Amino acid sequence: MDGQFDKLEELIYVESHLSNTSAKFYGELEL
Amino acid sequence: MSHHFLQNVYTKVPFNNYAKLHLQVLPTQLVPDDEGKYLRVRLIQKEGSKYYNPTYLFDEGSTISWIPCGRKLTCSFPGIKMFYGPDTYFVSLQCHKSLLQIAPRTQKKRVLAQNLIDYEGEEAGNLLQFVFNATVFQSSEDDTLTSRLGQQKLWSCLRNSFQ
Repeated sequence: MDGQFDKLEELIYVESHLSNTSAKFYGELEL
Repeated sequence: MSHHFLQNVYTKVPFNNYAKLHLQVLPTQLVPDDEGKYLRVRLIQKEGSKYYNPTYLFDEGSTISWIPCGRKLTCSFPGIKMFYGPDTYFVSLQCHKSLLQIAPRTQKKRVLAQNLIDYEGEEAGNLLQFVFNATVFQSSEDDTLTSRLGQQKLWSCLRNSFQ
């Protein structure tokens, strides 16, 4: 990941395209 | 943090060759950024481990370059670029000595070699190209011999790394 984003809550969009993260909850990675 | 500072930190960090996951923080490649204001973060995962399943983006094993900025993700300058794909890692760290052995002559080659070591994963292709070029530029017989020996060692090292 190169660069910057403005709103942390919008990063859920990126997270939703990741697989095998072992996260239990939607948005867990983002935090 | 300056670009140079980050480079120095990166090259001096002790690496664990057996780790399944590495996190690298590097200078951005999107824009010239001497102040180190924007960062490029790489999550490097080992494939083929029994107890670790690597995370992937969209499709496992594919090579994907993704710019998610737009309607669903707000990005101000310089934006965000995501990349996912297979790569080699630790190749040139393991092959460090061999690489320098084939480039003993000029400071320029040393700098080039060091640059390749800094970015060994994503620049593995350039590293291979460098192996070819190094022999061509040697002038004396001694240098050519040293170069050939270094080249053989480096190739052997690269083969082991890719297996």
